Amino acid sequence: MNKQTTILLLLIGLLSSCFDDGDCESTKTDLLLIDFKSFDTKSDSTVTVQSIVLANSDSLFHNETSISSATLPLDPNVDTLRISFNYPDTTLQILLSYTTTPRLITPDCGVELGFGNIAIDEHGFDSVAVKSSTLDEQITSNIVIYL
Amino acid sequence: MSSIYKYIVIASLLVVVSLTSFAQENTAEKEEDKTDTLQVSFRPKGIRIGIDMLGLAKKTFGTDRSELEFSADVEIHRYLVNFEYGQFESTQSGSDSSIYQNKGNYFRTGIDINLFKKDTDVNVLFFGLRYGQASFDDQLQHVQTNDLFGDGNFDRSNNSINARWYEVTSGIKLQIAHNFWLGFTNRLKFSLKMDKSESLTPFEVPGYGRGADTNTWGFNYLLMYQIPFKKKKK
Repeated sequence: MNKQTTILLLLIGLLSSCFDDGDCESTKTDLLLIDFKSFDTKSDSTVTVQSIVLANSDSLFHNETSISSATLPLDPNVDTLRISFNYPDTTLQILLSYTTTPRLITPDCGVELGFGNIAIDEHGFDSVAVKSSTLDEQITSNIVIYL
Repeated sequence: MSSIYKYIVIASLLVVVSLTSFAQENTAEKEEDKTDTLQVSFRPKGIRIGIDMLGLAKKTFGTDRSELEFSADVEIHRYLVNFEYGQFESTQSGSDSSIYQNKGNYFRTGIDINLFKKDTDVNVLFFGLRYGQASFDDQLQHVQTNDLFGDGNFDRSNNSINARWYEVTSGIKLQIAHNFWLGFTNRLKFSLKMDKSESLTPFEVPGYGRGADTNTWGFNYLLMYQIPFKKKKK
């Protein structure tokens, strides 16, 4: 093997050591998607709620509106969250449990938080089902409440 | 470096490999009569031990990542039986003031084939396969800001996480002095499997790279010394 080939091979090797791919792409979200469906027909159902209240938060969601779905943020600082659905004549609750798993995407991008293992510990509705136990922007429904 | 540069480097390497192999073929043909009369020896000539100089430089110059890797190979005819062992330690500071630390070790083992058909005692242009395995601890300190629920401290860790993967390797080993070699190894790493952790998703896997990458590239720049098994008869 001649000198030129040797030097070329060593340079190619050195050049390829510069590979450093990294991007900040993330589809993780903290938003829980809840759908309301009819217990009898299993089709979308519209419900009028006065408000939806999350424990540990003063904020009201979907105030005095008719909805067939709700998008609610989960609290990253705890592993259970009570959600109260306030109707004119009653209040129904769901107690969720979940895990939060942080991941450093890259030093430049920082940390993303993944929510997973979502389960329903308690609820006051006729029927509630977990459709997807992780929060991700590509997922269209996490929980279905049958009315 | 963008992916287009990867392909340029890979294509260049393949061209060089092809040309070098072609040159060897031509030379080999001319000496066909001579080689036909030679007997192939499968007896190993020695064990070649090496150290990754890029990792050594990082450790010496005190970067936030230390990766000290040693290698050993035994050449049997045109085949090289390889074992590589590395120690890894890193501290990464995130732009959001998070701190990620990782400490562990890893090994790889596999076989290369020397594409050179003559002078295999001197230079090696190889292509091979590896199985890699790592064991490590990592931890993350992070403050999660949240306008709705308030900020929270995340101090998470994993103990004794195991990971394993496979590699396709290529590279060269050039003899620069008696019993001394210099070379590099390119690695295409893939099929990473890792213990599942609910506490913290590892950012890095020692010996592999970013834990989120389903495949990735690696590189070692090696200085090697061969310990002969026996002295040549005079």
